[in-house]
This record gives sequence, structure tokens and C-alpha cells, in this order.
Amino acid sequence: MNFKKTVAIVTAAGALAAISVPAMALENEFHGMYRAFAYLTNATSGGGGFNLVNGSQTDKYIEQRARIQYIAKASDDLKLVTHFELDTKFGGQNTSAGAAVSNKYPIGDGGALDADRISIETKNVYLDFNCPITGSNVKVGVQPFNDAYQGTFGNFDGSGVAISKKFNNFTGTYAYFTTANTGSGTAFPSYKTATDLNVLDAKFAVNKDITVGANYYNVLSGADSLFLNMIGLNAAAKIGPAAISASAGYQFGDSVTVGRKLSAFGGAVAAKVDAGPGKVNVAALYLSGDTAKAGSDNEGWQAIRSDVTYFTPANMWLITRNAATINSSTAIGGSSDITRGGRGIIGVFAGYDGAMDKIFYNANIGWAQVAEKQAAADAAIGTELNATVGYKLYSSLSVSATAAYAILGDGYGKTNVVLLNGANVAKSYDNPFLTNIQLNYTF
Amino acid sequence: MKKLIIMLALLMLPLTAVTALAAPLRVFVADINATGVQNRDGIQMTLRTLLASRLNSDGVVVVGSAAEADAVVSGTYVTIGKMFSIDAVAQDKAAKTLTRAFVQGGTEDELIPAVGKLAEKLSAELIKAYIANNNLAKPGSGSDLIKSQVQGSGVAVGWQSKRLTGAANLISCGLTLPDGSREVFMAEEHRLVYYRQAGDMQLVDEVELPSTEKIISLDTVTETDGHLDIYVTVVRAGELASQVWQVSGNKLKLIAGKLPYYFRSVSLFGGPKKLYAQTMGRGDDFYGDVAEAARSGSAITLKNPLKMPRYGTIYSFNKFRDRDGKAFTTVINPDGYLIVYDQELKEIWRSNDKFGGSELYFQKEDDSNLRISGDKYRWIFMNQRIQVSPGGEILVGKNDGFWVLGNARSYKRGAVHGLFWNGSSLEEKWRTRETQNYMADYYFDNTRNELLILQTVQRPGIATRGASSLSIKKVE
Repeated sequence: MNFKKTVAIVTAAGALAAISVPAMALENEFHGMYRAFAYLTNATSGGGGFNLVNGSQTDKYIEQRARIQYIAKASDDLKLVTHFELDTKFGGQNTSAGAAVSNKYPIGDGGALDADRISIETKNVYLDFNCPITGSNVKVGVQPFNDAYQGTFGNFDGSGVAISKKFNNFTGTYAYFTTANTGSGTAFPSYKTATDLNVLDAKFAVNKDITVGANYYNVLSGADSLFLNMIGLNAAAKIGPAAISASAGYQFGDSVTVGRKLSAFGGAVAAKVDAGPGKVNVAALYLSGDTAKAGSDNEGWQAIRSDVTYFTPANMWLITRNAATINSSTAIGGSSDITRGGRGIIGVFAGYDGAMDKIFYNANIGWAQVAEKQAAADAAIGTELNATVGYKLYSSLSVSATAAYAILGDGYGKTNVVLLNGANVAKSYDNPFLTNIQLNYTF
Repeated sequence: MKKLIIMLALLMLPLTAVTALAAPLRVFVADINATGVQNRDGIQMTLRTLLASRLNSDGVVVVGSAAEADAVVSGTYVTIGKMFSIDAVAQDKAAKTLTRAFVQGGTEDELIPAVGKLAEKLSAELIKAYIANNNLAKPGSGSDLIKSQVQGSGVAVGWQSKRLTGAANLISCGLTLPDGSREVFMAEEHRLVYYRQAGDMQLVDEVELPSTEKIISLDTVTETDGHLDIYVTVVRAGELASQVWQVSGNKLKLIAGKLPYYFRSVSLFGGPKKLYAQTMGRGDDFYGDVAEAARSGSAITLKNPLKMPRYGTIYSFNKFRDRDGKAFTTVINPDGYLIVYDQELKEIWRSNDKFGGSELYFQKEDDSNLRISGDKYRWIFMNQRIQVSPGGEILVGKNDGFWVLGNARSYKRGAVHGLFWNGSSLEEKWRTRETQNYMADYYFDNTRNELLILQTVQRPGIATRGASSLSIKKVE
């Protein structure tokens, strides 16, 4: 067979193979967000911390966040989801490459003149497919996870595998995440320095108005020999004009402090009740706190990591962090840790939100204290009042203004005693306030 | 070369002939009245069953309802002395007689063969009528019946309204009034508008809903008492709070409200329009089966639930039959592909082209979404509906846009496509001319064989309601 014939046959075979393969149309799906806040506040500075000050100091700054999500969809049953985030403080954040990872801008951002910084962050990269053999949905990779405890254990983006399967009204999920690895890159075996989270979750839709769920979580830490167990129940129901969601969990096993056993409890309930042109929102939260007494069990509610905790139904800005915040995502106590270092929390929150055509508004009040004050003189965090009014410029673009003011409780407001943040001040902290103008675009 | 072309043409001839005869006549066997016999009901049922099974042949398919049929057969069974006679008549939809036939015999033993002979006679005559009568030659006939007024030939025909105030998202038709005018209902986000369409669109009444309530569906059903019920599916604070309206005098009157159902009136298999409902769940936007709905005051009762295939919701599906009478379900999926499922609800075909596309949506609060997407709400887009004509055509709307990215949608033109099931796939038979603007909705008036196409000629602004226009095109 001469060379020309061989080439012709190979070409023909290639062409045949090409037309035999079914055409696979790749769908390109984009979503995204742009949000900017202009702040005038004595509480935050855009770096992630929360300032308690006593000198009437006020900061003003602007920060923004953009998110771009690209989904490469090969079919209804197979897609790759990528999601990236770009955080910027106007003017840039003066941080060096060696800054702590907890800093919002560990390598700076593009807010400085000429914007010459790489500020892109990974949010999600995962494969999402339906298994043709089992019919289950599988997600593999860095993916979003929302706990069954309204965010009090952890809502995060993590690397793991989640498998879920629906059987009529029942949905079962198993998820595994490696949430941390404290070893160096060459440490062997690496699993000994890793922390893993395993989740078993079951949900059953009793009828159109009631869904109930049960779950079991465990956290295994090779580094700390930690073995945390958590069992819990949750429910969502529509009763008359009220949409109610509730969750409760009990944690046992090992605590972070090696040698102490864990026995912690958490519960949350939130209701949205139709009233007039809007809704009345009420919520209550209890997370048990640790007494920190030697020899006792650790009764402090454990989160998968303190900075991924939320309680969105509170609708607060200062005494618990607001889920709409971007870089200034923090609350009194100096961090986004809802338990204030294992002290737990007791809080009640109420508010009203509504809309009139393109105008939307809400007003909220909330009170919170830590469940265990430990060495502090008092447990009270404070009482917050806030209000927002906004306007929908387009269906996906809105502008809003928020004002929030917190009256510090004695846990932070007293002088010459040990406060919840460990300080002892001669002049009491100013009550924190925050105002912002928010521009929000999602698609 | 010439010989080759002639041979190919000759080979093609029988194929075209087969195509012309490929679509069988759909016949419904109605009552066979029996007189002068004992066990009258039993005989009537037996004769009806015998005739139906014997009529089913290559050229004729017996269907389950008069609405699905091209012809309806009825008859009488009479015994006089020792003789019996079965006389049958076949009529088309307009009650025009297509053919008559009879058989007679002496003993009961001759009854079954006699029914067979009657079926043969009727089949032969009906097929003749089927070929002769263009009105019956619609499904799959391969003829270009719908060209002059509907197909995108560049000829602007049909009726066109003037500019109508308000960018309506939805349209539905009501009764035909004694003066020949037609009731037309339109819905904006928070407004229900009642027009009468004759020479022009005459605004009769309108009602405005609170700004917290958003209309996501508008459907009409004629009740057994002759009243027209207007079902307005409303979402309030992420929950269903639907309403039923009626026309009283020249006013819209609220009959029932806060109904926790999605409503849709739909002609499954191109049959009579029935009301269907579905509920919303805590986790699922569309929960449970789609079921037939009946209203008594403010109470809604559901019966005859329909299992939905994948992507099937009350608004995304319809059903049709093929030439053999087999039932199929078609669904438009969230990506806009048209999917056909078999009787076991297994996917058997999917379009390569996208259809659908709507800017109408509702939102559900979703706290867990806030951290992930930055949006406090989950957006649920409505889609263009699939309608099935009495002739078995599948009608679906299609919008194209220059800016369709995630939840940001802005379509600029639309058209209605008429498809038919050729046995293996949905094939396009015709399409309307593209609209100049976003086609918000369309309505197929099967009593008049007309398409009502609603387009947004101006989108609503900060202080304006926008504007719409309505065009009506005849489907032959």
C-alpha cells in the first residue's frame, strides 16, 4: 500500500469517526454579581476587623466585589461550574505578600492606581453530573456547602464530594469535605494533618407545606485527634401566613481542646409572616457556650471554622454579621465568629420588610448576649436597630441605603472590668454605627 | 446523468404518494343506539366496542374522544321481527355527513361478521372522504397549507392592533360575544386588563393588584354554567396567592383569592381546554403532580393527577398523539430545548434548536443563595407554553435575544413555530413572521384557528407602564 492510499484511508476513517460521534453542543452559561458599598462608620475599615473605639473616630471608604460564574454545560447531566471572585477596596489595601491569610487582601488588590494587582480568588470549581448508573447527582471539587443549621455550623466553599439522590419526596445526601490541612506540602502521609467533614443528610417532603430533615455530621482531625459528632433535626413549614424554619443539633465527642469531652447544643428558629404589604420576620438563636472551667465538658457550640458562620435570618449588621456584606463582613467581637470564641450566643431578632413596586425597605431590631461570659464581667453584646431603603433601577440592579446603630451591652460597654473581648478600658467604647450606600447587580 | 435523475425522480414518486396517505383518519365511535332489544345498554356498549376495534385499520385510527377525532361515527341497531339492521353515519367536526353505511342480518350469529362488514364499508368511504376533503388532510400531509398568511413570506397579513398601554406579559381569550367580538384578557406584572377585540381593541375594564403581588400566569376556562373563569396565578412574597375573576356586566369581579395553586388551562392532545393546577413546595418550586382542577366557590379540588417527566411542570408540558394514536408528552426544558417523552416518560427525542424564552419570572427568597450567588432571591423564569392544536400540531413560541445572560434577559424578536410529529421527531411545518419586538406571549384560539401574538413594543420604565401590541394571524 503506497503512502497516498494510506493517507486517504486514514483520512476517510477519521472523517467517518468524526461523523459517528454524536455532536455535543456545549452550553455556555454565565452568571455574576457586582456589589459596591460606600461606608461611613466607626466600626469597620474594609480589612475584615471590627473596631471598638472610644475616640469618636469615623472611617469612610468604598469597597467592591465582583463575581463571575462560568458554567460549561455539556448536557443536562454534566457541567463544570467555575466561580471566581474579585475583591477590591478603593485605593487598594496596603498589604504585603507575606500578610496573614486571614487578611481580606493577603496579596493586595487592584484598587490602587493603575489597578496592577492580581486579585482574583477561587470561589468554586467543581464538576456536577448525574450518574447514569445510579441516578444520583454528584458534585466533585471546590463547591458551596450550606449546613442544615442555618449557617451556625458553617456555610462555606470547600473541596469535597457531595452525592445526593432523590426518591420521590425523600432526598438523601452524603458529602465529604477536606476542610483544612495543616501539614506542609511535602508532609507524608498528608491525611494525618487533614481535617475532614462527613455529612449524612436526609430530607423528606411530607407534603407541599412541610419538609422535615435529619442529619449526622462528623469532623475528623488527624492533627488534633478530634472526633466531633453532631446529630440534628430540621424542618420547614408553611402554616397559614407564616413560613417557619427551625433546626436543632447536639454535638458530642472530642472538643478542640484535647482532653475535654464535648457536649454542646444549638437551636434556631425563624419565621416570616405575611403582614400588610410585606413580611414580619422573627428569629431566635441559641448556641451553648463553654464555661471554660477545668475538668468540665466543653459545652461551647463548635463550628467547622469560626469565620464561616452566619445567621442570616437575624438581618443584623453589627451584633451579628450580615450575609450581604462583602469585605467588611464582621460583627462586634472583632470577627465573623458567631460564638465569640466558644462562648455561644443567645439572640432574638425581629423586623419587617416589604416592597412598593420598585421601592423596597426593611427595618430590624435585635438583641444578643453570649451564652457563657467566661472571665468577662457581663454577657450582653448589645441591641441593634437598623433600616434599609432601596430602589430597583432595573430588575437586576438596585441601589439602597442602610443605617445601623448598636447600643453596646455591658459585655462590651462597661469600664474597668474584663470585657468580652478581654480588654479592660477606662473609657467606655462608643456605640458602633454604620451607614452605607449599596449598589447591587446580579445576573 | 439524465437517466439517473429520471430514475431517482421515479423512485421518489411512490414516496411522495405514501406521504400523502401517511396520516390516518382519526375516528371516534360515539353511541350506537339500540331499539327493540333486551339488555339495551349491554348491546349498545358491545356494538360500540366491536365497531371501534374493527374500524382501526391502516387508514383509520380510533381515538378516545370526539375532540381528538377528525370524524365521529354514530349509529342505530334495530331489530324487526327476526331481522336486524345496523345503520351508521360518519360526520366531520362541523357535523357535516361524510358517509352512511348499513348492514343487516338474520340471527345473532351473523351480528359480529356484520359489524366487520360495516367497519370495512365505513373505512373505505371515510378514507375516500379523507383524501377528497382538504379539511381532513392536515396532520402530516406534507402539503404547505399554512403559507400565505402565516409563514414568514415577508407578507404582512392578519389583524394588527394599535399601541396598547402597558407592557403585558400574558394573554388569554374568553368568550365570543353575540356581536362577534372576542374577549381578550391581558396581564401586566400587577394589572389585569379586559379588552373586547372586534374592529379594534376596546378597553372594557382593568384592575390593579397591589405591587407586592405579581401575575405569572393568565388562563381562562368556560365553566359548565357558561361563565368564563379567569385564573390569575399570583405570587406574593414568594408564595402562591392566585385569584379567580369573572366578567360581570362590563366589570371584572373577583370570585376567589389567595389560592395556593399554579393554574393553567390547556388542551392536552388538542382536545377540549381543561383547567390544571399544581402546588408549590418548601424546597421545590413546583411540587407534586399536575392535576385536573375544579372550582366550587373558593375551594379547588384536584383529580386525575398526571405524572410529569423530567423538567415537566404545569407550564412546560403538553401532550399529543401520533398517527397511531400513541400518546407522547413534550416538554420545553429550562435551556429551551424541546423534548419528547414516550408513554413511559422516557426521553425519545430532543430538538437541536432552542425554543421558548421569556422575560417573565418570579422570585423566591433563598437565604442560602445569598452567600453563593450574592442574590437573596432564586429566580424562576416562566417560559413560552406549548400548545397542541386539534389537528395535532405542536405550537411553541420562540424568542431570540441579543442579551440573554444568566438572569438578565432582553429578547428582541419572537415567532410561533408549528411542528408535527413525523414518527421519529418533531418537524417544523410552519412558522410565523418574526415580531419586531420581544414576543411576551401567544394564544392559539382553536375555535377560530387563529394565533394571537402579544409583543412588547415598549418596556416599562421607572414611571411608565410601557406598551404592547397584538397581532392576529389566521392558521388555515
